[in-house]
Amino acid sequence: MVSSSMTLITGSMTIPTLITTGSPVTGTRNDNSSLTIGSYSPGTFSRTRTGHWSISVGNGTILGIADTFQRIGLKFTTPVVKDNQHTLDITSTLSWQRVLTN
Amino acid sequence: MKISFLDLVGAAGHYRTRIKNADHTIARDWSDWRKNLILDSGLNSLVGPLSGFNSVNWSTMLVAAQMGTGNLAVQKDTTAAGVTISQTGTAVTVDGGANFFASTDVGALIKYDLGSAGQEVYITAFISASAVTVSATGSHTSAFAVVYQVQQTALQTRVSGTTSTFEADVVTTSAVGTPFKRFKRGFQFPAVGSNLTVKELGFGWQASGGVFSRVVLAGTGDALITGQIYEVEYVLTVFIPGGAAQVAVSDVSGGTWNTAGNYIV
Repeated sequence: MVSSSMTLITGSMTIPTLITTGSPVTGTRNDNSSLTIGSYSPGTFSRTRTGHWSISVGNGTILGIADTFQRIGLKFTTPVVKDNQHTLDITSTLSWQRVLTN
Repeated sequence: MKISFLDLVGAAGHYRTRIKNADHTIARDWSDWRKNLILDSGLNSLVGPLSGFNSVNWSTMLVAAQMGTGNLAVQKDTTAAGVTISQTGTAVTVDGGANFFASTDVGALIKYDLGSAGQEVYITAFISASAVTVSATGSHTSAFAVVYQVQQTALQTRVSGTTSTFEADVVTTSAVGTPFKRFKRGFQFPAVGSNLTVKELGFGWQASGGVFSRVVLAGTGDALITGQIYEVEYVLTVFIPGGAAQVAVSDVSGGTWNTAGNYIV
């Protein structure tokens, strides 16, 4: 599943107004080294995914991140630099619910 | 370095029904659109083998429709029952000691007040017809509330199910206001072999067994005579928390990583 990845965006980054298919951002992708899916407990309606970038992956000036499964783009106000002395972990939590209106 | 962020999406379903004669002429045209109730088991089913290892795939909940003759209510409200309720801590009581709750309400969801903003608490224990324990503390006095039977998992008395459709699916998206994605599918049940009054509907990932959402039809239900065809349109709207700026939570050891920024889905 191509969509099951997180990516660091370098180079340039644009977030469209609404994404329902495809990538949530444009820019240079630096996909995670590994992705860990959290277990699910019934009734929680919530699940986490953690992307990991090793010291050799995603180095450079990071403008933001994208979760291409959850179609989320998050652009940092101030870019950050990752170098080969750093690992990076990003955890995203997707929660879902019914919308009840009395 | 560590960063975390949270994404919350919500969903609501609506349905309408019509009846066709055996020659496919209209016997009774579309009913009004009405709300359904998305069940806890349906929300749980969005995760796991049904929808992929790590997916929350809403469209898998529109695979099948079921119909039946059960009329077990999916909700009850205090106004219709002529009562009000109060909550102190996790104790909920019916004002004046009137009867309102049932032992079968354990697992149901109480939602307070009119509209969509009221507190929601699960009933965790039945004490008496006028007292229950709920999952979260709160403070409500002489309140209006609706009890939703979200703990139901299937139709009460299933008659049949179908995955057949009579029209092409419609998927629409909107970025106006609260962005949403909307799925519509029209199901067609085979002609009935004998007179049948449909009183309940279910929608979900299979034509038999557990359902994502359940409906009890208004009034006495939809009466079909031998040979008639029953059609149901179901619309699932998934609301997406996009558009607005959102602050992510970060934990950057020894750093000052500002993760405020624009966020979309």
